[in-house]
Amino acid sequence: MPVLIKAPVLLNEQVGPGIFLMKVHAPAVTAECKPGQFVHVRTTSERDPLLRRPFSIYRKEKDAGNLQLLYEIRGKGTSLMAGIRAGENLDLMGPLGRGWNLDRKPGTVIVIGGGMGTASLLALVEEFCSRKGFKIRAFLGFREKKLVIGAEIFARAGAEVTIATDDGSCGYRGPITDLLPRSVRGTGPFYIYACGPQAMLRRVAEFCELEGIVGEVSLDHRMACGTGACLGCSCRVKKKDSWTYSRTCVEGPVFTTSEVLWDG
Amino acid sequence: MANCSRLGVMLAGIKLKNPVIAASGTYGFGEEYAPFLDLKCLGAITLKGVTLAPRKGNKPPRIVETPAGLLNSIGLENPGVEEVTRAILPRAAKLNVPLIVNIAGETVEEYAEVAARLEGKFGVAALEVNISCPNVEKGCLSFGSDPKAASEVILAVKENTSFPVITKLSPNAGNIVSVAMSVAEAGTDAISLINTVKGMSINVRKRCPELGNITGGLSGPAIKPIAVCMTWEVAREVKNVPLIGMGGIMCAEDALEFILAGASAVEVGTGNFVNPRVTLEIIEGLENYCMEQGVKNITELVGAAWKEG
Repeated sequence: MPVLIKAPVLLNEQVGPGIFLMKVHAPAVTAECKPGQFVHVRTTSERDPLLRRPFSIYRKEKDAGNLQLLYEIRGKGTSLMAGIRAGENLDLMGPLGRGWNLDRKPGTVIVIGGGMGTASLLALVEEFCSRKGFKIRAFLGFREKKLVIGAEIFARAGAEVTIATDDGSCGYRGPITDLLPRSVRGTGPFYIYACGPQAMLRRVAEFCELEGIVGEVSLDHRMACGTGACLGCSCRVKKKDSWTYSRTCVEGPVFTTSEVLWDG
Repeated sequence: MANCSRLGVMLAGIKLKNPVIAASGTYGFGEEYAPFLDLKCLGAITLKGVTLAPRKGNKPPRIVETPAGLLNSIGLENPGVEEVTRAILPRAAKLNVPLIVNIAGETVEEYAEVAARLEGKFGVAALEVNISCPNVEKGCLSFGSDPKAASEVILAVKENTSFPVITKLSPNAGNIVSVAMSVAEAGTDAISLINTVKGMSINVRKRCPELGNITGGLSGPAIKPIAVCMTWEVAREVKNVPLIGMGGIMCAEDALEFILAGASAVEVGTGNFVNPRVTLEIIEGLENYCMEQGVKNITELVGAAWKEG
């Protein structure tokens, strides 16, 4: 069950250009949350900006009951959030949404993250690294070198990390999806998890289709309630021979590559 | 929790333990908010608008935030009255809180048919007739902006239901007072106001409207002064029908403004997105206000701003 709490902020520091890491003490959330789920944060007690902002759960320190959020300043809400100091409280709801499918037999896990999309994947990597028989490869794409965040944390967690940047300032120059292994058929169980810009997710879905596997993608849509009540974050998904709108906040944010319709 | 005798109100024949109601379209079918508060503490819950046939709703993006406001264009997505009566109402009835079913249609006959299908359903306390949604192409607001068409819808619904009927009015009607007078004459048991204010927002980088449906309805604190004013104006003219005020209510003081303007109860919508427990805080705040001010029952405050003026 999700909770609504005021979580003490333990740390809120800049870790990259406009990118912040916040740690809060929220045992009621860490006790329940699964990789890929999100928390809905009220960034001010004032009436503007009005709505909460959804953030992926970056990391959970289950024993300590701490939750980490990695976020980038994009507008008013995240800007206010960056100003919250250790010792203050963060008003948050969560855990919310459907997280990544963790019910997997030993095999190869491939996570593909684009920009801040990597924030949704670290907890997943840490989960599979803690199990026996999983090989984890992380393909992380960024705009440029100075925006490369978390690569060493993914590596420390146990993933084999490959980097790409749009301008070639770090690793491969071009879309990270160019680097996905060719023909994974017959190499044993193989799982794809991706979070990032829509264009990247779409290429991941095409890759999965070519390989004949069903991957998972975490979508990012504007959200109001976060609990499935308002139907503001609906996106199109396949249903039998037709399609339906699905709520990103409840049926998602994780969807399978075979169900998402990419044309809007 | 709230003292029933102080906050208890009778509204259109329904007994509410307090005058704070969750607004339609913001509260799903109730259960979405169950993890965050004890729903039994609410005066009532108004369910998501129901139509005769299922509706998929509008093309995304469906929402965009604006200064102290929210523009939405959901487009009345709902599973249709059959699914609602079969699967959803029985579940919602277990929440043990009065349920107000919001109904909408493209024609007078559709409103009548939806009302007829809901007749006698367990758990339902009243119908709220939505003649004010700005986000659907046909029906709805076209009824709400014309006093005569509005009254035809209400007459047809009244003929097909024994539940009290609440008519939800639009600020986009040319003259909300004349629509209010018309539905009052048609026999509505209460009037709720206001629905969202039609608006739009343009993304200057992409040079296109922010919403998939181009226009939407504005809600939240940004519209509160408009809503208080309309509540005041309707209350002055329509004295024999109770009003339910709404529009940007975020705290007890906001709710009190509507009550003092002439509303017997309030609905809280967008505020739930910001703070899922806002309704409880409002109830507590109303209770405290009544205690401090020596108000024995909140009904004493209804329209007090103009009665004493």
